[in-house]
Amino acid sequence: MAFDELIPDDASRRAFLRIAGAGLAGGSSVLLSACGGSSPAKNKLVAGSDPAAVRRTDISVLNAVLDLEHAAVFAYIAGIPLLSGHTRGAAAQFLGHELAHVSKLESTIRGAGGEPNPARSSYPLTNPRGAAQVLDILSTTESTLIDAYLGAIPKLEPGWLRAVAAGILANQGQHLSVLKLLQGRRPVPSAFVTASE
Amino acid sequence: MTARDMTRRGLLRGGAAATAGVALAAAAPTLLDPPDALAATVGDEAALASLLRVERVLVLAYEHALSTGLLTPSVQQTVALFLGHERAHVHALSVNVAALGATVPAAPTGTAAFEAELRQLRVRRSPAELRNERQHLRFLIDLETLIARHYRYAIARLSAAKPLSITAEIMANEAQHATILREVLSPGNVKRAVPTGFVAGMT
Repeated sequence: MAFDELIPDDASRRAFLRIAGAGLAGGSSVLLSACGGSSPAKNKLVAGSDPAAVRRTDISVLNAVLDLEHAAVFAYIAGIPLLSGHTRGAAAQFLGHELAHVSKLESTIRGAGGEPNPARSSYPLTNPRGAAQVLDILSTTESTLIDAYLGAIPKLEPGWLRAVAAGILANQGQHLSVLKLLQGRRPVPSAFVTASE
Repeated sequence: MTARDMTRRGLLRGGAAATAGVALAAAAPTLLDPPDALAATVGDEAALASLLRVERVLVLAYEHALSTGLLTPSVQQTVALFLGHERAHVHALSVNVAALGATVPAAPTGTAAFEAELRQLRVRRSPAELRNERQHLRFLIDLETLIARHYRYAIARLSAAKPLSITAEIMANEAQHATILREVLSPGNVKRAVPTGFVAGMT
């Protein structure tokens, strides 16, 4: 299958190649296939979105969550080779989503005249010894993202930007539910999604 | 077997069950384009009251599904859990509406009021037409999707930090509900359960 088919969205493809260039991916077929689940086509802004309304403080907030999204991409890329079967497929699907989030945040920051923070060459991760530990790491990563987006949303000024962040937050909540299912935990333990879930 | 066991087993199973899910995905949606019920609202209290109204419809839908006797025990358990969540959302929104000094609107009661509220939301299908578990699940998924869109719009319009935080937490929870209900409907099909990286509230 062609690379273009695996990562159909240009922006996600660029994000993947940039991260691969940073030494994280190594270009294995496993990692390429990990991006097959990206479906950014439905990433639509709320009507009336205006990049000019984005403030410098908004760009700082977006860059803070972008840093965590980069770390999440790293965690998925590092963890997927240790997974198998359906669990691996789910993680691959979610990696595609995280790459789409990176692309969306980067394009939003650029559109507002800011400079998106780049991915680092590595991130501190405990050394997982198997699938269970990978799922622990990924669940923690998703919880961290949820915490970050919940903190970011009230700080963002243009409403359309909050709506974008809320759409990503909700997706992280979905990821966490599925990861919990795969771990044999309760997938929706509370009526309110918080980082303490 | 608990709901958790069932859904986890389904997720791990994948394969053939996922194929069945694809066929279901081709079914026509039961909802028209979601209305922008919040378009005419002004102020945080009006936006929250509008969300409260939609949440109450969701409560009625879950109650209705449970009352039919069409759900298997494991699905019943999941639906009952989510009904509890929806009631918690109603309570939280009511508290926030009252805190802003607005009057908490009365809850609709009875089948006629339920159907009227659904029509207001431009929901085409009547719950009375739902004949089996799968149809009920699909109906609930559509409503969860609809409400996610309402929350997304509300979050774009709210101004105070507290309502923004609570609505973001609830929107993410509704998205989780939709994911787990889709997993119950199409076991093992993660692409169905979490179809996109952005929850926009559209099927």
